[in-house]
Amino acid sequence: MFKAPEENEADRALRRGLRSLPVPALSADFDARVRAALRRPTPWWQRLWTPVRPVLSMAACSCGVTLALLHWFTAIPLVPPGPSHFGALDAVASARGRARLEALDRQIDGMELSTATLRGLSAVERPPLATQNSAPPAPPEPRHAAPERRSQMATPPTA
Amino acid sequence: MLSERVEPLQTVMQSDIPEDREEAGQIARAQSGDAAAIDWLLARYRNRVVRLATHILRRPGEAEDVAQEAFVRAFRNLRSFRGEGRFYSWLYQIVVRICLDRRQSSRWNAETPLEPVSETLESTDTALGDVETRLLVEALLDQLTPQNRAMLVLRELEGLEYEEIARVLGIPVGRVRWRLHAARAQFQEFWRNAQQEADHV
Repeated sequence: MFKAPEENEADRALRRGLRSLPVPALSADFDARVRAALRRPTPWWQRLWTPVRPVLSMAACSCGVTLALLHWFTAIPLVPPGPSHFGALDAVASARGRARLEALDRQIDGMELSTATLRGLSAVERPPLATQNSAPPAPPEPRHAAPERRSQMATPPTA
Repeated sequence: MLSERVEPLQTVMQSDIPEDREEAGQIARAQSGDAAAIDWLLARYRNRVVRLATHILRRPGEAEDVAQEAFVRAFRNLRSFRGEGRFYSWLYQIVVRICLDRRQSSRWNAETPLEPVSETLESTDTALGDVETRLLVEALLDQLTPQNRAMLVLRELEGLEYEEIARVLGIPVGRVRWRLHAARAQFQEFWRNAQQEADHV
């Protein structure tokens, strides 16, 4: 019949078992080898390593912190982001459209001025349809051109 | 041969206070490079150090090398020992560190052949004759991690206090208590199963 052992019994067995574990017998020249190893000069890097190790670990830590801070600072944009590729295209397109509208506006103004005389109609230039998409339309004649032309026509040639 | 019966350290240290004072004197002399004092410390601790290394590594062939390295390292850095704790806990700390470093090295599994402790060594205490218990203990040690093995050996064989074990291993005392409790519980399970099997037979 199985009888559950008490905790103390198992603990005692554990201690007994640990003490009964075999231990290797030391070689006879163990002490002599230790003394010989102690007499050997310590390598220079080993002597240097002990005092330098805390300094090196501190330097490594501060390097890491500096790199992290640098990365953090460079990740922040100092100037607002410029227009994107599509944004630039939009800007070009809107500039062209604005120029075209201004040209049309100026032509309409010119038409109003020239309604007084039929000769003013000749001053209206329509933008060429073929080049409308590729090149900006030619600028219309300035407003003061019509009166100047009129004055030229009104005055008879002196010759 | 230098093999001799190793008594638990705690019983010796607690019962004999003048021995503590003598040890302190020998350590002070060894710190100033006295060869006789170094020999005294070697004679006092070599078997304990080898035993500890054997049980942590579970490779007796490596234990002597580890012990030698530990003594060399300890005597070279003896001036850094300021007597704040016990000398043996400082020495065991070095031994455990070397053992764990060896276990973690990539050469460990590649180069060191597996050699069961029972097959390569003769027991120093055949009078006990409890082969079954010894096998159970070996099975337990094989299942534990090197750090937990060190904990168990330091507690049960060397008689160190929980605080001293925590200092040697560099872990909190609570973790020492918990892991030792787990190791003991595991052994109890082995023990129960073994008894159950024996009863069935």
